[in-house]
Amino acid sequence: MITFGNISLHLSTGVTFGAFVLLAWGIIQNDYRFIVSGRRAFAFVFLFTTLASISLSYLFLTDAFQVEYVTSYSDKALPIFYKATSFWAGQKGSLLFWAWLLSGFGTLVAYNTRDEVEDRTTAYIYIIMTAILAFFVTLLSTISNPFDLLPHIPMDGNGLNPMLQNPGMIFHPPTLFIGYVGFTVPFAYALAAMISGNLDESWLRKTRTWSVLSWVFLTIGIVLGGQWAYVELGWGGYWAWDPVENASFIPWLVATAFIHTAIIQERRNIMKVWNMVLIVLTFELSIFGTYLVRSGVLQSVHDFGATGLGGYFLVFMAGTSLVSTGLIFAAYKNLRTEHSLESYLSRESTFLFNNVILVAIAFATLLGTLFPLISEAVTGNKITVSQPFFNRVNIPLFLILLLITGICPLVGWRRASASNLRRNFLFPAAVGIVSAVILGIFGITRVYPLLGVSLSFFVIGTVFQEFWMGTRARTRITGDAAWIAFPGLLWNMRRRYGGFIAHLGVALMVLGLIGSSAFQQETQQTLKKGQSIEVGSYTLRYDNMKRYQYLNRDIYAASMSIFKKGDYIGNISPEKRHYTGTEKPTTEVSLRSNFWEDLYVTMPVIGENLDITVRAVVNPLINWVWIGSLFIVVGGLMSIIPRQKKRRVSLETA
Amino acid sequence: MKQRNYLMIVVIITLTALFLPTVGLALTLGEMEAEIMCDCGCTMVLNTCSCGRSDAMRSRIEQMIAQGQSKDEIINAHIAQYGEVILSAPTRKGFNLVAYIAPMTVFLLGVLVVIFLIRRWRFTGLEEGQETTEKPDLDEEMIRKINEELIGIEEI
Repeated sequence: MITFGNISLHLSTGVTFGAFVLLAWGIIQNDYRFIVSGRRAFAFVFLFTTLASISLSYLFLTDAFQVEYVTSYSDKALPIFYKATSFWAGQKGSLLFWAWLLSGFGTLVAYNTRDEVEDRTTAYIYIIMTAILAFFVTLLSTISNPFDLLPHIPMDGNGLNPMLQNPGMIFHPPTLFIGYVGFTVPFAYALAAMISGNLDESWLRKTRTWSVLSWVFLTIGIVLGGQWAYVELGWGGYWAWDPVENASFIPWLVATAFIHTAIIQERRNIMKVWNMVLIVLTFELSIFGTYLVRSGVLQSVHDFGATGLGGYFLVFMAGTSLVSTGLIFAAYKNLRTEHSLESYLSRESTFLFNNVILVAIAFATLLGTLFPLISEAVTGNKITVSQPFFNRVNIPLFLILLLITGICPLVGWRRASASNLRRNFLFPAAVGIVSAVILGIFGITRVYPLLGVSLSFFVIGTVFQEFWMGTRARTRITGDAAWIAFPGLLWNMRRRYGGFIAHLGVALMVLGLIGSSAFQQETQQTLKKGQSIEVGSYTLRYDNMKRYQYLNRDIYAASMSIFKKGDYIGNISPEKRHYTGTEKPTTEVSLRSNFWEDLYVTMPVIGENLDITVRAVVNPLINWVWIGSLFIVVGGLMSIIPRQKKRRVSLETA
Repeated sequence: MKQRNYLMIVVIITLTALFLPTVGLALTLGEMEAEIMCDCGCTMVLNTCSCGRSDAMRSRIEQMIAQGQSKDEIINAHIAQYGEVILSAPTRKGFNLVAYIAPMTVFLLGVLVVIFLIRRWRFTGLEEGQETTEKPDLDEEMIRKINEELIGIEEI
């Protein structure tokens, strides 16, 4: 199987380079036979990377410890479930997964464009995707081969990092990768459009599904990463502005800006240069994310992924940036359009301001992430840039973004009239103000939470107003009842209302973020058996300690009774686990969750006589973060469901 | 003009309020924990770390607060022992100011660029005789779109 995997990997590299040569020759000679052959090669590369991936999975499942990669991330005791997911636990498997995805996406693009081969732009799309694929398969076949053998066969493997032995590990990396890799397609279309000079909005229309779907996957990946951190890292939060978290968040921000301005270009044929810049930045930042994880240049909770491969990614990023920038400059004259914006008060203008804020947040996050390196290079001083800095700099910008999110749908395209603004703003503004007053009555006067909640309700008011107006208009036309008209409205105008649902998700998420950060309650205390700890309205009593073996771990589980306002409501059981083959024990979170709050308990220390140190946290509204993300994902997906093609049935044929 | 001035004042006050640091009266452990990193190499801020080392660091800070030391004195004591790397955010001094000023500068420049562009494009549009009349109200626009949708449904 090792040989089979190796051969498949090398064949994928060979075919990729062969395809590149065929495509280049076809383009130079203007001979479409070569381009057709190059197009077909995608399917073969996909086949070979699939075979290589199957081989690697098989080697993990069969404990083939002669393979260095298998030894590094697995052992005999590892549950079969995690043996399968160890595939992407390290750099080599992640790269193979990346190449597999890219070749798969290339095959899909090749299939979708099978009738457009004679269009020169299509040939450029193929060659750009092939060049990017060549980078990954070359790394895989040379310096990062997952089938490399050890000089001897060890008795057992090193095991998988306990932090990665979590169900979140199955979905978090793959969804993130799908997001990253997916942006290659619009990037390739954008570059191809600039090379061919076909600079109308067709590349945007053709790649809209790719862009939004990649953005949706990136969103899912980021949220799952947060959820993983919440249940695995044991500090009671889900987002620590860690360099690797930031590395996925920065392209997400730029991609969000791109998705918004792409709408303007499609609708008004303006913002062409800016859209090119944004999609190039999104792609480059996706590669940068991978570089940051793999280079180990910054200290991170994700240091388990660090290798010496960062330099290659840096060179690749520099190369693609140079080419992209050169193309934008060369095409600049043709990209410039006869702009016309009629008013500061138009939806186009609000989109531009939304872009400024998103890009500013991306810049602030990037600067903060890299600042320890910059500072050390300039002053020689080692510094740390962590949570407080990012909160200080980004929260004001996020609040302004939330305001724009609420304003945007209320302002009409081209030019909004004063009467239009008055009518549209009245209800959402009232909702926002009333929510602030209610919070004030309950004694919440801190500026950020107050503004955040008020603006979130403003956004919610906006979205509900849109739903109401749309439903009312539809009931007038169809005569249907509102409960029939509303789903019909959502389905028939899913692109528009998908966006609103995503906005609603953002508002719910912000409420969750505010609740779980500004109103978090926590306490830490050492307890003997029978003693209690209080947090919020909960009392936790340490009753007992159990020790048992399960799969590849030795578990100490504390049993604690939970009382709420004096009434017994159940048990909670934080754990300390010692995984086979690891030195340090890990702390396992125990959760009691409901719609309004989470009770989050960890046991950092087990002392003498089984005394325990307990950290208990109450996180209000935290589940709204996950519910809000679900709305964002559903809204995004809804907006790209293709429209059913209209079939005209003539009377003659009927 | 008067209205614009009022608007400017509201914007300036709001921005100032947003960017002003929150000021606390009595120094608490929680406040100090947010300022200092755990030194065990976990890359976590002290208020989010629950390792054994962080407990020792918390105890030391509690002692310093009990002795009546100010926030600056506690921070300086930590810098003297570990260097600036122990702080969770860069100090607002010297080169570090770049990290605080640059994002806001980029944001404000971006806003100015957008205002400038809209202004320029607006005039370009007018010179070319672009339509400046109001578009139909949202309701009418929506009714038009819904009608289209209904036509689409009826055709299937």
